[in-house]
Amino acid sequence: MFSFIVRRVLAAIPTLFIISVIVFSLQQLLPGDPALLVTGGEASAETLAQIREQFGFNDPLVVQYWHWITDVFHGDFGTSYRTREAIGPMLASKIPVTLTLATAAMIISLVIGIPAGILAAIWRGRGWDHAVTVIALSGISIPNFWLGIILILVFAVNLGWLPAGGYVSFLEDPVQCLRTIAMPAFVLGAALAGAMMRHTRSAMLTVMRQDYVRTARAKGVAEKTVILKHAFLNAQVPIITLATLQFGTLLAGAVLTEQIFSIPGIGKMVVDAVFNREYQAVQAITLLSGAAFVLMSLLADVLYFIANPKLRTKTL
Amino acid sequence: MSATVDIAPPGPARAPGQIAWIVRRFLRNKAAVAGLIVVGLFVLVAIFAPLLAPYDPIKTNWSEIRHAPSAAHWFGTDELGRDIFSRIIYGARASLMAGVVSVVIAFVVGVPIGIVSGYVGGVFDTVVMRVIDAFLAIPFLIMAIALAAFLGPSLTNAMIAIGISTAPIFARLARGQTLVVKVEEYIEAAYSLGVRPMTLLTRYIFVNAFPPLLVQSTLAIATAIIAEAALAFLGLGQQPPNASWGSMLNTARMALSQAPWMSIYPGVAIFLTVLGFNLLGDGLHDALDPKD
Repeated sequence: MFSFIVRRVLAAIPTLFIISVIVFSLQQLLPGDPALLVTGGEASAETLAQIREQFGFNDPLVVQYWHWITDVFHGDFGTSYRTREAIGPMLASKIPVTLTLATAAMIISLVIGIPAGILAAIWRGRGWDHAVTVIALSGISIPNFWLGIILILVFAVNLGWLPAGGYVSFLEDPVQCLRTIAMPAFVLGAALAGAMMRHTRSAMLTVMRQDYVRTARAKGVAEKTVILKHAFLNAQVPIITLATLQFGTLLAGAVLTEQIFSIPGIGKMVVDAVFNREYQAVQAITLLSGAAFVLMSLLADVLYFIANPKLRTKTL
Repeated sequence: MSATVDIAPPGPARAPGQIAWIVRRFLRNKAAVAGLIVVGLFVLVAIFAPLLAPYDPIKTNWSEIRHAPSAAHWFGTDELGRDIFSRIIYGARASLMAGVVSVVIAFVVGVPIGIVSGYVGGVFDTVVMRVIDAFLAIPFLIMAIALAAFLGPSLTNAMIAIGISTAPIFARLARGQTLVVKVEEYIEAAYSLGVRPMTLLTRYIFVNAFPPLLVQSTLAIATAIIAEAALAFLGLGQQPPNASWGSMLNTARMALSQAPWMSIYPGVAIFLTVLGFNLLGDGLHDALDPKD
């Protein structure tokens, strides 16, 4: 198990390195002089030359990359040109907010997606199966920012049941936290639930065609046990993989959802950074989301390893 | 002897009879046909927008600000008194163009990289795939937002950003297909007959890897339309006063309680178009690959 994890971590290093190069390269797309960004507009030629020297804009790209990545390793993602605030601590304060939202969304998608997918597989070709197919495809096709707006319209503006926006930490007030994240978590979870339904249905159908399921039925095992113990336990591996890998989708979805519901997480920070031309913060969040995805796929592999006894015995 | 040898059409490329069979399979799938009709309708709306729109989509009318839907304005008016129905009709142009153009960019960038990488193999393939993996690790929308932010806000830059963010998916798919196709006997036969590598890649490998790429393109248009709407919603896509479904939703949310109709129709338009492309893509997938 340990050697498996070590091998996977080593394999992730080149990917992380390339992600950092891609993210660093983004700043080369900026038109014009980067020193102008620091000054926020007009400045004398001497000031600009001084800033270029001070921020290392005159250095070769490889040297600039080296300085940037070593700073990142020290938790230093740069300083906001506008507020002169360090980006690292700002980012660290937003992570728990987005993680709370993403976790709630993941729970909603699992609670809706897995049972619906299992039932669709059991009742293949019947009304429920068709309904699940339509609901799942609709979930994937609805733009989540629109779904958010419609939910605010119904549950906040018309019915007044839930707050239209804002965020309260779970540790501060659990009830209020759940009230504030109920709608955004549903919006984020809906699209994922659609994907989860399709995936669970397909995984269950594959497993239910296997010989051991037929044998269990032939032995007279109760249908409930066949489905939950024999079929679902084997179908869970691809489902776990999807759930873990969809974390990136949740992060991306959080950008719009947090914007609509005014939630002060990473998603809102990236949008604010774009509008304030805080490109270092945009880079930091892009890097972080790429790294988070690599870590999640690492976690998926480990879970896969734990969930699949065949793989475990083969490797050990 | 000439270096080029032209041999008969490549192995399993589909014969006319097979195409007719695929079309029949597709037409038997009601959901796929519904998707085709929806997509077709929106394409017609986009093409004939000047004939269909009852009002000028960017003309403001201060005496008709935020009027509810009526016989004169079927979908109501917006915060500048513009006719929402006309703006949705013109918005179809921005959305469909963004969907198609960004997927063309992704296809043109990603497919050659994937095919060459799969064909050449070895260290080159390993390095290219590592880069593709790194691109795929960055969440699609965050990558598109970052690119659009660095390139500057405009519809063209949004399309480039979405196209580049989507390209790795095409590269990976094309590479996978190339690995499957390149070991087929007819490819080996063509190679031993002296067919030039370029001809082999374009006329033999690409042609046979095309069906799954076509399915992916259709589904990618759906994703690209949502992405363009998302970028426009954030102010990084189509710029005012031109109509775009995403930017219409952005202004609509400022007046949710006073003018809810402003939020409903642009979202329905996005939903129907994306659903249409998803149904079409699923239908093409089933028709082209009945094994699944």
